[in-house]
Amino acid sequence: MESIREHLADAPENLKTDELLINMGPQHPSTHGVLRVIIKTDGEIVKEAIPEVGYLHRCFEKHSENVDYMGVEPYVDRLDYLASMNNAMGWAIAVEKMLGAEVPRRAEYIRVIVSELQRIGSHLMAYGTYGLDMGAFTAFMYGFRDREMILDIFESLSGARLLYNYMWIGGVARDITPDQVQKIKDFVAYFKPKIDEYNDLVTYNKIFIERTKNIGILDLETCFSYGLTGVMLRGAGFKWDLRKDLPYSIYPEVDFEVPVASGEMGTLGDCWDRHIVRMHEMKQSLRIIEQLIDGIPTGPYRGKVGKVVKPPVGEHFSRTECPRGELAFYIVSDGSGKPYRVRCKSPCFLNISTLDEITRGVMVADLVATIGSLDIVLGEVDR
Amino acid sequence: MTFLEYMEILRDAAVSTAKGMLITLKVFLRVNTSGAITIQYPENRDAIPLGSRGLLFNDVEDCISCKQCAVACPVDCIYIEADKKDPGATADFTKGGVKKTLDLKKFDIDISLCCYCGLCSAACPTDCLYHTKEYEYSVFDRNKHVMDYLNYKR
Repeated sequence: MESIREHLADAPENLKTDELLINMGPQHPSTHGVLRVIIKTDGEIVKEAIPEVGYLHRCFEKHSENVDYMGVEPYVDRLDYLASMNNAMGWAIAVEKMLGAEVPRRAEYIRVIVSELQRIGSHLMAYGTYGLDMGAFTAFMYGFRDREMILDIFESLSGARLLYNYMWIGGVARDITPDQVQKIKDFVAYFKPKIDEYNDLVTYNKIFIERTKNIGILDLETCFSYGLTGVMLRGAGFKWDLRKDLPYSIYPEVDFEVPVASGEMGTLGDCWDRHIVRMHEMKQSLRIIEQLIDGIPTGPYRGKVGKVVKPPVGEHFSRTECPRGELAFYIVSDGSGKPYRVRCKSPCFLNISTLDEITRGVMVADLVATIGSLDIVLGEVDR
Repeated sequence: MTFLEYMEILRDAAVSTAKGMLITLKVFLRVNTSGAITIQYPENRDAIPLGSRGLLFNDVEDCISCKQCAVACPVDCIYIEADKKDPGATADFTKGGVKKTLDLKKFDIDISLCCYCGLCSAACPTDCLYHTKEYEYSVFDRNKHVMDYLNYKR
């Protein structure tokens, strides 16, 4: 008895406070893939969080130098595997500009419809997994349920469920049938009221708001210094969308808004702001699909591109707006059938780079919330 | 934070959570009346749409050994060997009426390397190489994934 008292009396001196190094991941469900975050913690407070990437490195850039331009298409699909269509569109546009090839109007319409559907699918995944990170399992299931419908449309359209290889250089791989057009219309009609439902379920839930507001604040200066684009930038209150500001394909002809966060629930640029931008973007994507789906022009679905794609000597840089930001391809051609050099600038890599800066001094649980709101896909971070 | 503010947060949490629970309740009732969306896989299967990209199949009768599929393949998993036909041999035609000038000796595809991109079947001039709807072909030996289409048994 006495010894316990003795022990208790000098407890404060024995209790040592020291920094603890924790490895979060690479096998951790809330890191959204094989991401390892080395966290230096002081109690519950994160002092430093350094993301370790590279577990999924597949040498995309080097590999592209050894296959022909069409052969890169399946690899491009595997960059951001949740938004394969958008990636492939970026690659196709880059090579078409090098070739000077013309894309038929029908192909452009199909491309934009499909890539907007993919954007919804990708944001649904982001919404679902973010709910999962915050402890809302239902949101995850609902997100997957609706994403499944998009995948079904894509499966009938392209033949695959995840890695489509659908946007080919010069157009699309297969034509769209009236049956599939009807399927897309049905989906739009079904999904339109669902977004508000999801907002009620998760976005405006008080527990969710309390967990995500005032956390992971990205100010504009950080955004610009890291070169962030897409949802990160719009979540910080800066109106920048390539579809509007540097339009490609038939985006100038469609009417849509660029949603920007306003710091509704807390500070501008926090996790909740990024979440709400995604929810609004889904609505805008639906708007774009609605405008285009009825007026798909007749004609060929693939332009005249030779069997062997041989762009002239030169270099080209092109960027497109993907669900996670701007995906850019820089291609150098030496006139042969294979690219001389390919550089891929992925938005996810930049997004995850900011992690250390925006999570210093937060709780460990808030770190999970921040990683979720960055919405990274490790396939694109590592390439 | 005052006590009143704290109670307000509690109230908001209860109200917004109840709102969410109402949505899940609606779904719960609908599932009970019209059935679940989930498909119990091994027993029930979803219909596979036309043109879906499953296991590759080559109809060697129609193959003219042009090797365009092997060139188009980004992972180089198609192995073709062909010899020139004997000049004395009888002329051989595909179903489409294309004359075969080469004698196909080997047409193997390593399915374990295949990435199902569909570039080979798109390049095929006689449409003899195509994707089937088959998607269940697990084997215990990796070598069995090398499909020999000249002696194809399944």
